[in-house]
Amino acid sequence: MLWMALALALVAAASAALFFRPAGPKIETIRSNGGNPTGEPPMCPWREPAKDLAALFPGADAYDSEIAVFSRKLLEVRRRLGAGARIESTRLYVYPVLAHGRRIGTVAVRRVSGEFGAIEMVAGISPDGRLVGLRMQRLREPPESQEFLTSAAWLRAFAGKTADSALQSGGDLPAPPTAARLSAQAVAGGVKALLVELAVGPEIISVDTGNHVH
Amino acid sequence: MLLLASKNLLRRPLRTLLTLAGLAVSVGLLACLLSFGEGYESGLRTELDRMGIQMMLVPLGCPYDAAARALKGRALDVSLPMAALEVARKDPAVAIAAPMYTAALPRPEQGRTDLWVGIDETTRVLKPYWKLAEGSSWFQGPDSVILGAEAAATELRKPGDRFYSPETRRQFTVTGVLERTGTSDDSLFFVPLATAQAMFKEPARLTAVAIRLKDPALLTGATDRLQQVKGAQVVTLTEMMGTFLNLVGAARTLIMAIALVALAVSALGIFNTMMASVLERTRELGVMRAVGASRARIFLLMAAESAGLAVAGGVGGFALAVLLGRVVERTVRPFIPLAPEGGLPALTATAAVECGLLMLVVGLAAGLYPAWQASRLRPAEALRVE
Repeated sequence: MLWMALALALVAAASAALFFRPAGPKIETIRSNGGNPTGEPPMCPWREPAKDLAALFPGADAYDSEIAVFSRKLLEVRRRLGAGARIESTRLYVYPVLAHGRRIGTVAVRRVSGEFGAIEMVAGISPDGRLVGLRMQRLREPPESQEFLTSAAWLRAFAGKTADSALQSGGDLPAPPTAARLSAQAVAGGVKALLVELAVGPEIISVDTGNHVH
Repeated sequence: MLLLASKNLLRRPLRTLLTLAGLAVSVGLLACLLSFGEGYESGLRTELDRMGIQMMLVPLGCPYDAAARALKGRALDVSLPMAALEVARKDPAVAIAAPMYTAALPRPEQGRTDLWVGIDETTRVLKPYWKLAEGSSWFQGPDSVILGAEAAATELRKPGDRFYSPETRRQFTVTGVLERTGTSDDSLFFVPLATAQAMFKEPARLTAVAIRLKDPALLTGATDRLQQVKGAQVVTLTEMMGTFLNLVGAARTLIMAIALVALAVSALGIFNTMMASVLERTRELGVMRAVGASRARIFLLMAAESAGLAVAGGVGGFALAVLLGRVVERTVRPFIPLAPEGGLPALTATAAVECGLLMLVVGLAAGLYPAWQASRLRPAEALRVE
């Protein structure tokens, strides 16, 4: 009898404590609508995996999702990218691409600041660190700039590039028209940064497997 | 007597526990739903109060859908004449009339929709919770754009950057970025009203006028006058709240009916438990009567047992409501239109009192007949029972 009474009393006390707890000081808060508590820029999602894989890795039948960080290699990344490089985040969202269970490459998505808005791009990278292809996912550029940045000639020029490539517009990449200069530089810089960050060997902190390409 | 009542309940701990479990589930469900309804109403009232407006002028059509879309920063399919704004501003009851022009630009090839909102200075007065991030300023010309916090983060824009609308082929300069508000404003692009009207080729049209009155008591008169505006209709936020609450109320009525059925079944459980207890203890009750216990005392004893069951079940139900309230809220929320931001309370004081009283009444009512039966036992007959 006593244990039942004690149990009931405990439940009642816990409920009362939860329910009647003091309000606490009034603090004006701004409710975040799913904001980023770390202050890092929002993750750039991979919006059309099937379409991109068909273009970059035609034989792929599945992909995994990984989060990798290169915090420990930050100094090396800065050295390779140059002193002026801005590194928004030490986190990488990469997608190992599989064919019959064997890894045939990696897809990485990157968002860079173009002249008129964010430019999202999808890069396919071979196991030896070479770029197999680049696709534009989203951009908001004026027509001349949009036409150049999405042109086959420009995108094809990225194929075969590695972390050691210069990736300079007007150098090892086609020179853009004036209207597209700043955005083209942003794209080239973003690809270079991606390749370097992957080349330094980031640590994988999270894996999600079993995404099938339909 | 209470000690005796509790001892009697504990003679069959499993039976008592099962009865209590049934009671706890139905009380918990009822408490959650009552609290949810109160929390929804309170949250909605707070959101509407926070908006600082008492009414909206919207285009003719479904007023509540139009008003809800305007409040949530979604585009409307039709528009108002600009004259509606002038009439509203001239009304003696109106303190502020803030125009807005909202348009959506779908970009299906990129899987997104850009929402553009044309506003003027009066909107700033109506949204005191808007704060501009460091380095920001208000519009500085027709080609200015102010981005919501989420929009700026996604587009990697800061004050001074350029911004382009491919569909309207218009270039802008980002003059400001809003700090996160936790509302739909976070993902919108704000431009001067005339700019939005020009972008979407509707130079003298609006999608809504938000109105703050000099005194909320002037609502009825203002509504009657503004209802005469051609091409427009008035939606008062109390009406809108009432409509939303009706929608919630309809859903709640259905779920309450289910909860009350569960409560009724629990009452039957108490009845069953008490009747079984009376039958099992016939001899014992006979002995009690034989040694001098009055009918009234026997009645009160059984009533105390049934009240004890009800109280214990109620306490368990409150605990369940507190523990599982969030789960119930997450389940019900998708079915509620335009639910207020933020969590809704798991258990409010009013709900607790209502449920507690209901449980006590149900418990006592369910125990009435068994208590009466027990009090009517004749000692001689009761003692003959094996």
